[in-house]
Amino acid sequence: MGFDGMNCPNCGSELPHAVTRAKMIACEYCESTVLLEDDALKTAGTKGVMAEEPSLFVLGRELHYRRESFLPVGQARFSYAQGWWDEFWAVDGGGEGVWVSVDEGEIAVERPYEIDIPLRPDRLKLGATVSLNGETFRVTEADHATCTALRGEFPETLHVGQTYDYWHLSGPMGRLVTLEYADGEFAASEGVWVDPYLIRSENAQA
Amino acid sequence: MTDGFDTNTARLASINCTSCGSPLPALAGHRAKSLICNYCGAVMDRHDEYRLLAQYRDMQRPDGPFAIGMSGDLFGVEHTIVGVVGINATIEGHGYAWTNYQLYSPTHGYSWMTWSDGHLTHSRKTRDLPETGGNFAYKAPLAAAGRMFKMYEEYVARISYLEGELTWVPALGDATRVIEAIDPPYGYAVALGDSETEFEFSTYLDRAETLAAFGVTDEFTRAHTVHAIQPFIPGAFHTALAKAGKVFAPIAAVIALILLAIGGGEKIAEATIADPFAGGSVVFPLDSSHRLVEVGITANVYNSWSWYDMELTNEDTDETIAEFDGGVEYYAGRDSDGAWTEGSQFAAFRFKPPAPGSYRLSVKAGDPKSSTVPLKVEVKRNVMITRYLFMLAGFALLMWISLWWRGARFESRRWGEDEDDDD
Repeated sequence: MGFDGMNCPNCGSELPHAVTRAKMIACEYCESTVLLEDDALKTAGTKGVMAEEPSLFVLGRELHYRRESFLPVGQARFSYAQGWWDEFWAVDGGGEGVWVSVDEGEIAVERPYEIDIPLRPDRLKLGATVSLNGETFRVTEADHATCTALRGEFPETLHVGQTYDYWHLSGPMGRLVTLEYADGEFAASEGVWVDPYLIRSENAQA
Repeated sequence: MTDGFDTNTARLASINCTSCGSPLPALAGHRAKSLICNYCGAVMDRHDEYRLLAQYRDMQRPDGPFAIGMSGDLFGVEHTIVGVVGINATIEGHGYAWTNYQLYSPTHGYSWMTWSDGHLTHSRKTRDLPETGGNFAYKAPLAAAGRMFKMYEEYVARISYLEGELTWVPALGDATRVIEAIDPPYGYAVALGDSETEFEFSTYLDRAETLAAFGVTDEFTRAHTVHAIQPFIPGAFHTALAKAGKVFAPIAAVIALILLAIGGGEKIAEATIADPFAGGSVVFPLDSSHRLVEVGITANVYNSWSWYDMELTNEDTDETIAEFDGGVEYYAGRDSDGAWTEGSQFAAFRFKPPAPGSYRLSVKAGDPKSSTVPLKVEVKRNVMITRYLFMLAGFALLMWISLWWRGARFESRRWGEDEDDDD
């Protein structure tokens, strides 16, 4: 069961059609985010104010990068010490969902990554080395992030105001692993950097 | 390259230098880490309330056409110049200097535009790391970013000037070892710093288009050198001629050789005139008015010459068809350079008869100072001239080769293997 044909429990407006098997969706008409849980809709919070900023990624506009394509369907904005970045939940050409991190032209496509050892946040200092699945990574960024706005649909529950710690780990041959820590649990994703100059929109010239 | 996006322009703002109070443009995004005051040389930390980190007074701004705040379109994307870095390097004993402009685009991030001896290039950080190649080796292959580059040069780049907003905190005199590889119009650089190694992908920019895009009038000295990643772009006319030459040279040569083999003509009459001053004639039949006839005159003149008046008449109508003259001259000798000869003892004249029939060619010495040696007259019909086809083949070959030669010379200058690098 998805969001099709259902109405926002806050304002009663019809919820948008979900492109993916979304668990959460932002109502287009009110300030609410709506959570689908056990076939029931619940308001999850507010979606915040998403200030318009120039971006290669626009919800609903397919992008092509080399042999891959991405259709952004959800946009979450996070603030951190230096500024802000966007995380787009997108559907790739194979129908799989991916996270696309966009921070002033620094773009990474990230997919879930299984980590094989227990980690401790206090040991993930900037510059520290971490061995994951037989590969050595170095902590190149460590910061706190706060979700400030949501738009579209998402595969997991996100809350405006939610704060978590994150670390960027750089590995051999440009490998990127992102660790997130919230509520006592780590989540990891493996990223591939994307050259923004090679991204084409569906309407762009070849 | 990317196009079709609405990128907007950087938001204009300014901030006062925390050292001298001068207003400074703040055009970059949040990832720019430092701001360097162009008035007092203060280096400020953008991520720590513009705290003063260092100060470099009396820096000499390097040459270049751009200034902070200028915006222009590159690859369909609006870029704004937010910083300037002057670089000095010594390469193979020669000193070089160039100017790097830090570019910012809200959608594409940070990149560089470099002004070097009148050339413009664009460079951006890449994560397409090299698949091959380690240490520098001249012209060794380096596979990266889906291309096969050739290693070009290795040098140490040293910062000589700083201004504006930059993505790192620099220090005047900071040095980076750089390995450059090329695949014109693209380049790939490995920059080996003290703490990290970065990789850059470069593209050669059209100078006129780029300066125009940034609203700069081109009043700068033209480039006198070939840039490492400058593409060889011959003129359209020369390119077209070379392409045509490549096709027509072998065709014309083959046809000329065939005609040479079969177009020597058929001898139909000959005569020997013992006394050229008394003269003589030869009569010959011609059955076609469409084919060339050749009259060959041979006289064994030696260090002398002979000149003849000739008249061609139609035997059937007694009409004079043509009157013409010509001769042979032949000289030989020896000087300090060795033996030499000049001229020929043979001369040929060709004509197309106006109609089939019987013709008479009369020949007589035309100058009283002419040699008295006997002459032999030989008439051939169905002669074909191959000279012009050979000339065409030669010209076509020349056009083809000249383009190749220009390209080879361009490459030689690119690699610094041409001593004459001034034109």
